[in-house]
Amino acid sequence: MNFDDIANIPAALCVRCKGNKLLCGKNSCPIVTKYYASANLILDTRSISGSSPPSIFVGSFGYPKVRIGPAVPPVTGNTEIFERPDKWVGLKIEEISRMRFSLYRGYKLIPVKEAVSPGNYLSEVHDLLLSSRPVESSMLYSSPEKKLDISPETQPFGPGGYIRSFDHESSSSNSTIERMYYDTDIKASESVLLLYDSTSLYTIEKMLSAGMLGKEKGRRIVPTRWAITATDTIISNGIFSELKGAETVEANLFYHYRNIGNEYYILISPGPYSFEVIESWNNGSIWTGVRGSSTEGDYEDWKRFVREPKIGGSFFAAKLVILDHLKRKGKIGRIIVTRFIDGEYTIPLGVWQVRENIRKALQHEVVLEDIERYFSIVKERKALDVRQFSRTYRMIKNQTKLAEYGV
Amino acid sequence: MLQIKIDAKTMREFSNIIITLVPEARVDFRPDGIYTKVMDPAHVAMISLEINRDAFQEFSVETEESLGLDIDKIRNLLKLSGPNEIIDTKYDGKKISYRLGNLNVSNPLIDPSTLTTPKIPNIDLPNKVVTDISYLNTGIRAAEGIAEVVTFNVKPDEFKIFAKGETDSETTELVIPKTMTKEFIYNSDARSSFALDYLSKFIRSLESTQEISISVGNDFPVRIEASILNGKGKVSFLLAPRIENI
Repeated sequence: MNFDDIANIPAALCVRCKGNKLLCGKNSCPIVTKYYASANLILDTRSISGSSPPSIFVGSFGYPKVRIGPAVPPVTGNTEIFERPDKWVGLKIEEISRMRFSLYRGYKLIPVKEAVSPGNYLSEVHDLLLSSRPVESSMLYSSPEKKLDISPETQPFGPGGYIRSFDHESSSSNSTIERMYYDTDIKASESVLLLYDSTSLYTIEKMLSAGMLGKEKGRRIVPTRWAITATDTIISNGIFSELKGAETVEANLFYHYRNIGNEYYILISPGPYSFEVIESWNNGSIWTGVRGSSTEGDYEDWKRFVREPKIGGSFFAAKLVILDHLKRKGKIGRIIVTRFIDGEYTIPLGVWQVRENIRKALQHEVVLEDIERYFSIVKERKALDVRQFSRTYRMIKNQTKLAEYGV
Repeated sequence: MLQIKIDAKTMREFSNIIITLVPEARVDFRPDGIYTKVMDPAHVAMISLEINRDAFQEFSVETEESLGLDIDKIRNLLKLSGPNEIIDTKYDGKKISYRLGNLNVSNPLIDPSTLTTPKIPNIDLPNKVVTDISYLNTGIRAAEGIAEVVTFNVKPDEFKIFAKGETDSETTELVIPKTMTKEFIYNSDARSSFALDYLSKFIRSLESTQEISISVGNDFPVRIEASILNGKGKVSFLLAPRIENI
C-alpha cells in the first residue's frame, strides 16, 4: 500500500470515520494499516499461557456470527490492571499500549444467539469472566492472524487468531456478578443498573458483551464496541430519570484536564438539560496526521437524545461521567465539553480515555463569571473560537425567553 | 370523584401535544371540560390546551379538580391500546386509574403545587395568517433538513417560511400567497426566527388539525392556534424567537 494515499483523503473524513466505516472507499484503513506495520507485532507462537485479567474480545465483523474468546497475556501474576482503565490515568501511551498489545486474543466463530443456551466453549468464556481474580489460562491456536485490534471505542488488543482449545484453572467467582448471571428473569438494562453501584463499569461491559445479562431468551453476544456504548447509554438513561425535576446548577462551573494528548474544557452552566461535545482533532493526531485539523460536534437536549453521534461512542462516554457527577450534586444544567486532540495521541485507545480523563477533570471545579469567559479561555489557550460550533452557545445567546415579552 | 371515558386516539393527541414541552403537567378537570397550560423548562415555549366535554364518551366531573399527571406513563398505557379502544379514567381522591378492556392501571399523582402553571402573556401580534397546516408542515420539514432555525416573514400579500444552511447556496423557501390563505391580516412587515426543534415537534403532534392560525410580529414570539378533535378542543402555542446577536 502506498501510504501517501492518506494525503489525498480529507482530514474531516478520517475524523468522522475513525478507521471504522471506511469512508475513503479503501478496503482497509490506511492509517491503521500504517500503524500495524510500524508496531511490527507478530504472532509467532502456536500457544499462549498466562493470567487472564479476566478479559475477552468480541468482534463485530460477520454479525450475527461473531468472533468471541478470551484474551490472555503471556505473563503470570496479578494482571488485573490490564482490564481496569479506571486505573490507567497517569500511565504513558506507550505503557498502556504495550500492556494492551500483550493481550493475545483467541476466538471461535459463534452465533450471537448462542448466549440463550451456551455451549461448552461459550460456558468456559463465561466462567472466565465470573472469576473474582486473574485466571491461569492457556490457548492453542489453529490459525493465528497477525492483526492487532484497534477501534475508537474499545481498548486496543494484541494479535489474535482462531483457537483449537482454551483451558483455564477454576477460580472463585465474584458473587455479585454471578447472581446477575444466573438471574434469567431480569432485563439486561435492569441488571446493568443494579450492578453499576458495586461493580466496575468495565466488568459490566464485558458481561453484557459476552451475553451474560438479561432474560434467558433475550440474551445475545454483543460485539465489544457496541456493548460499551450500550452500557453507557443504559446507565446514563438511569441517572437521567433520577435527575428528573432536579434544580439547575447555580453558577457556571468550569473543569479542565489534559492527559496523553487529550485536553478537556468542560462547562456546566445554569439552565435545563443539554449536552454538547465538540471534538477538535489537530495537527499530528492519529486521524488527521499532517493534514491540518478538523472539528466536529454533537448536541442534544431534554427534547431529543442523540442516538448516532457524529463523533462516535466518546459522546456517550463523556455523557455518562458528567451525569454521574451531576447526580452527586443532585443538579442539572447545560453541559459543553470541548476536547482537543494533539500529536501526542498517536493511537486510538478507546472511549475509556474520554471517560477517565473527564472524571479526573471533574475533581477540580472553578466558577466562571459567565459563559463568554469559557469561550474566551478556550480561545486564548487553543486559538479556536468554539462559539461558531456550539449549539449550546446559540441556545443561550440567541434564544429569547417568553418572559422578555411580558409573561 | 371524577370519571371520564375517552378513546385512545383522543388521549394520544392530548398527551402528544403536552409532551412536546414537558413530561408532567397540571391538568384542571372542570364540569365543562379539561384545561391545561404548560411551559418548557427553558421558558421558551408555552402551550394552552382545552378539550370540551363533548370530545369524551362519558364525562362526569362534579367538582373542579387540579391533578398532576405523569404524561410519560399515559403514553406507556397508550402503547397497549388500539386507536378506537375506550379508556375509562377514574380519580378517587388519591390515585388516578385507567381501565382499558380488562386491564387496570393506576398511577400515583404528582403534587400539582410542584408543577408550575404559567400565566399566558398578553402579546399583541400585528399579522395573522390562517391556512392549511400541510403548508406549514412542508415548510418546516424542508427547513429541518438544512438548519436549526426557521424564519417566518409576512409581507402585504404573502407569508414566507425560509431557512438558510451553512452556506449561502443552501436554502429552503416556502411561499404562501394571500390567495392561498383562509384569512390574511396584514398590518406591518414582520420577520421572526424560531428554533425548529420546538416548532416541528409541536406541529407534528397536531394529528386532527386541518387549519392553523399563525400570528407573527417582528423579532417577537409567534402564536399558533388550532382547533383539534373536530372542533371539540383548541390549542394555542406561544414560542419565543431566536435573535441573531453574535
